[in-house]
Amino acid sequence: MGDLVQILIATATTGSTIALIALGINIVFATTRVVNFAQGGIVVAAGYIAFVFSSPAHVGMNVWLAFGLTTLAGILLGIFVDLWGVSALGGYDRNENRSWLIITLSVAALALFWLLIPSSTFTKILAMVAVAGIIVGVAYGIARPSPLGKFDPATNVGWIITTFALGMFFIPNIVTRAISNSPEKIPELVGGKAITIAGQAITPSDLLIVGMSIALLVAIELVMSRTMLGRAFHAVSQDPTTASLMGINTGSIVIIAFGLAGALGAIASVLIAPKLFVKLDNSITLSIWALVAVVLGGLGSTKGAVVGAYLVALITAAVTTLAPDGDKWAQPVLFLGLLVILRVRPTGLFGRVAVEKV
Amino acid sequence: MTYTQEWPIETMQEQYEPPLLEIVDLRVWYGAATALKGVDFIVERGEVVVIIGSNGAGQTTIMKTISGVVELRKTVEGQVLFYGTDIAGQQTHKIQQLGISHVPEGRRIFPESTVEENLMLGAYTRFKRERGAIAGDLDAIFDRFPVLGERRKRPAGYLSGGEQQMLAIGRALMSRPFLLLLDEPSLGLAPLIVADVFEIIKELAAGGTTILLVEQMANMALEIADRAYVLETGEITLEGTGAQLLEDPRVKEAYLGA
Amino acid sequence: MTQQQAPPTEYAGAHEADVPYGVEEEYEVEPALGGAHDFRPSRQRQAGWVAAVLGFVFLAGFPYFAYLFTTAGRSYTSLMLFALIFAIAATGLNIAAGYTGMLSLGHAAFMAAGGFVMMQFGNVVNPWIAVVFALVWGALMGLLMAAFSVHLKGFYLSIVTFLAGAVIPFLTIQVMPLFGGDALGDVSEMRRLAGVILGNGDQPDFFFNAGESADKRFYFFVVCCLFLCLGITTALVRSSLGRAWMAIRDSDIAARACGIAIYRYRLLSFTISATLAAFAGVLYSQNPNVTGLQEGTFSFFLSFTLVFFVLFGGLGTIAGPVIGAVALGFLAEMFFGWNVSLAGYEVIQPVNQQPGATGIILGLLLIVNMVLAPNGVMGMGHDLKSWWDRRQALRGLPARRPVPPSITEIDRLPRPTTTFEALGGRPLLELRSVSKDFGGLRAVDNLDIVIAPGTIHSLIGPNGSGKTTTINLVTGFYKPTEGRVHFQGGDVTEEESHRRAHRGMTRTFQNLQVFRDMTVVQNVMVGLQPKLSHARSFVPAGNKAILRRAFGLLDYVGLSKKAFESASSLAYAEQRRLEIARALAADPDLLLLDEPAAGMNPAETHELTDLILDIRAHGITVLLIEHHMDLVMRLSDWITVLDYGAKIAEGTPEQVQANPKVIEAYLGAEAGV
Repeated sequence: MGDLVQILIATATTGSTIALIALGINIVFATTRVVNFAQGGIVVAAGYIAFVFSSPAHVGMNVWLAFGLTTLAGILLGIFVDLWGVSALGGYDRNENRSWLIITLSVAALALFWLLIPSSTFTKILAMVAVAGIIVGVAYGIARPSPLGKFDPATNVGWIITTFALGMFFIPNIVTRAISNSPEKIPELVGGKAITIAGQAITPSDLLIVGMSIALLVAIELVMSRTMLGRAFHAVSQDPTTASLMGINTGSIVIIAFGLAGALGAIASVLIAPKLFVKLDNSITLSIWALVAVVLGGLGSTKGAVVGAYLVALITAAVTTLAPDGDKWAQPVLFLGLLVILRVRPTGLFGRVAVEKV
Repeated sequence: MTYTQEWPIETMQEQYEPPLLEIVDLRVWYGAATALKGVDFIVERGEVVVIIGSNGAGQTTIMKTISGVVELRKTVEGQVLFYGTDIAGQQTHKIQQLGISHVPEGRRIFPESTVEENLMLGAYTRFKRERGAIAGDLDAIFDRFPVLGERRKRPAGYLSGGEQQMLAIGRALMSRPFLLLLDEPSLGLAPLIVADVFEIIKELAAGGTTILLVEQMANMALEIADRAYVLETGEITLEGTGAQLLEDPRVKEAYLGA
Repeated sequence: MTQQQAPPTEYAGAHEADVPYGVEEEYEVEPALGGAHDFRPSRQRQAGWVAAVLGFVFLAGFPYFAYLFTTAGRSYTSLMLFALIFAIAATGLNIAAGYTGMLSLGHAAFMAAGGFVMMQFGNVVNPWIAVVFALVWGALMGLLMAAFSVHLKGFYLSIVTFLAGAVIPFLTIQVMPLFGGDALGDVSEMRRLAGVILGNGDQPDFFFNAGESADKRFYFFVVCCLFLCLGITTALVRSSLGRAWMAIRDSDIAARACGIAIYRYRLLSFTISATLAAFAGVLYSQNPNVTGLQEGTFSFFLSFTLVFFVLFGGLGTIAGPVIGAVALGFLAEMFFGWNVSLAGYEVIQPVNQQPGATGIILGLLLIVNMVLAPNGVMGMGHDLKSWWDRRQALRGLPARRPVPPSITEIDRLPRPTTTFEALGGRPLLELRSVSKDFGGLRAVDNLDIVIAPGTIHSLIGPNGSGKTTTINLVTGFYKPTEGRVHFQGGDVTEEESHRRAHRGMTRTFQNLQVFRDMTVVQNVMVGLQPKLSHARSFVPAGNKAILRRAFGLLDYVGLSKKAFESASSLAYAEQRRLEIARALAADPDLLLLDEPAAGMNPAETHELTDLILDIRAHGITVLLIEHHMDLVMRLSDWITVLDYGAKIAEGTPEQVQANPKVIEAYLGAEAGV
């Protein structure tokens, strides 16, 4: 019985967190047909940013205030991912974005290399070679006429690489270098006594996680289905060019989508942080599970993302608790199960089946 | 029934009023390929102007350049004057907000959204200011196109070609445009349906909407045209009134299949 | 009665081309990246060999330079060693991702498979046998991953490889103990591959001190292995097998129509790719600097890193993965020291410890790469070269073009068929009561069509009448809900679409499916697929024969001047002719043309008409779908008219033109307006 309750608690809390992240991935996909691998980086970054804001050793502000600021940071990070990783690949009326991007990239590259440059001569030479390489790449990009004016995510899968590079390499490493490389803790958002059921403790934090997640999920779903903005999102996801003919500013819609996804990732990160430590590995794992959840539930379907999230949490919790050596088996079982499902239904449980026209 | 807004500008004297749309020496390239080689034409307020041409002559390029759609490797030179102001190179949604509505080639309705949602999206830019008026316009569209009213809640992807064309036109009308751009409305439709569509266009013209229409089916188009131009491989080769071009022997041979 | 031209397209938006057609076009000539290297001018081929030799000398000699010029020679050597091992894995990945279009995000799993098995069995049996076991297991795991992914494309394929890539190492670790012992152990107890083949490393040799020789020998061994793998890859890629893979990458629909069984070819490509990666894993485990393998050694980070290497160097090129692995891998390790958890080992003397910096730089480089130079370093080289060629052309200097082969009449013409006698008066193609339903919609209703050999048979009808559905039914892309399809007297209803080309039925596509990243002549060479065995193409003489035949066909349609240019650089009408040449390559009995004149101006349509008439003169039967009525009426021997999926009329052009039902369907009740 205790096991069952433990599983349920884990499902509810982890599932809600994953659902928020998954919803973020889904919103971005629904709008731009891009699967945002960078959610992981945002989750990591948000955790450490919240730590910086709330820890007495650093800024030390009220934890709810830190929460708010972290969400803001999440929005900004989300937009950053869009600008550097997705829109930079071309499209959405933003060709002028490229020179902006090129300049910021060059400056960033030079600054980073200077900061990190090692001291021995031979290696210094090699470092300069690498910098020269980046500059050559940038010059080439400026000189070469833009080959990508129209961005069709189905065929041009460069976004897999850029979002992954941003989210799993670039952002997490910058954050851990700048803030801290070790697991950190942030204070509880709500204090109070824990309820005990069947020997398992349910803290007010747990309740907050579940409550807030569900509230957010419902709110977003309502906005998406009832308001004009939601209809605009839907239009952009079906046909961005025609949507712009309707007077919809597709660039803004995309930015809002990415910002929203970033915010959701940040909120999820802060909610779960008091329970698990703020740790690089944890955040990456959560994000991978969120990705799995979205694919399982079906890309483009909000219902699918949420159902997928709770399913993923349930399976991992069940296997971890019930099977001997459970935590080793959880991920393989999950992945294998998903593989089998994808074999049968490639677009996931609730995904749309696309018909290919010959 | 009018589907256009009140013209907001008091004209002092008619002869000083600039044409609603004037294209001056428009040249367009896609990469190294020339699509338009210097096109000039005018659309006055309240007119129906038709551009006919065969496949690949450049009609869709003209439409997309006017409405500002972004395309691969496109270079544009020349002027697109909307009531005297150059709008060439402006962003698509800004141009739509000026009052130019483009019904794209191939209709391009939103297949997953319902008929009603498609129409509401047409009125996207008016949404904040004129909620009540939009509801009224919606009813008017359903009155004029009862088929759409019947399929109000169905996803638009399930409609037939002709119904989709009506939906696309209705959607464009929802924004009460000053200028309606119609890109090959007859494309992919059975001739019986095409006749129906052109009936609708005639009505719109009678109601005061300014229309720029490009077509390959020259017959029907020239019959409703006030003035018309012939476009061949990126250049205007003939111009005149609709009636004149219907009688012109060169047009007859090339486009009317006599 | 005026005849109106029916609207030229069937699907809404089907003609929304980015570039207008019928306009004089001067496209920039962009050389195809992955595969245009065949038949370069001899200077260029020599340059390729020179580059290969130079590369070998540089890589093989690297430790000598490192030991001579620096004090940390051992570190540099070991860093380069890792880079080379990753280069082998990246080369394997490139076969699947670059040449076949299957972007695998889980390739590190095969390194794991090879490495773990090698660790296990190297202890137990002769190391060479262990290598074989490891490669076999790697191939099996490749088959497993492929089995889940060959039916998918794009993002879904990548996600599946990602998932499988996480499961396979786990599976390997669980299964191996069944054969006895633990897979992960201390390397020093095992007989090392290097020591066994190349002798004990304890004696000094004339360059190096004792203890270093083993390092050097293993390094040299790895360099040789790398070039062996490169050689194998090159041979594969330059053969007709490689061309078939590239065809699948560019357009799997057209590949099927050319007779390629795409799932089988993808399986093969993936398996070979996995085996190479497994080999890299074997070498990795035998690296003297590796103290042990852990489960996390071959994580998805490594899989993505391999993808990065390939993309950075240039996807779909031979040298690309090597360049990427050496540049990124070596440099990254050199400056900043790899994260320990990433590779499971410790760099002997970390040159500079900057935790996390690798990730930052790598991430940045990748973004620059994908946004600004998506074709990688090799791609930049290609662009540079074509810029140089253009400059030379502007100066009036002749560009060095490949020398076309001399062709004889035998190579040139489509070969006349002998099917007439074999059929003995029976029709070539028959549809018997064929119907096709899509959900609730009946697209084709009880259709009976009979096509006589040696004729031009046209299929016409208003939009939505089911013409393209019929073509897809005939060519096997759809299976009929009811009815049978008979070709050459036999029932082919149940056969797969790629068998059609082998039987003698080929087609062109309404929405143009040329293989865009291959050269024009390579497109036609793919079309020759059903007529040849792949083994023949591994021999240079065999390849030349295929080239001559392809050239002959190009000459026939008038494209021989552009033979070595990228197919995507052709004008619209030229691409249509290319599709026809490709379809003729298989010596078909029946050629299906799906709106071949769409988007052509009158001059081009006229040329097309002559071409089709000439094709018929060679005895090839033509089934034509068209909207240009003048073309149809001029060409056809027999016309079938469809409306709403059913046949409403049939007959000679004169009969059909006069048929009232046809007039009504096409022109509306107001005939003669």
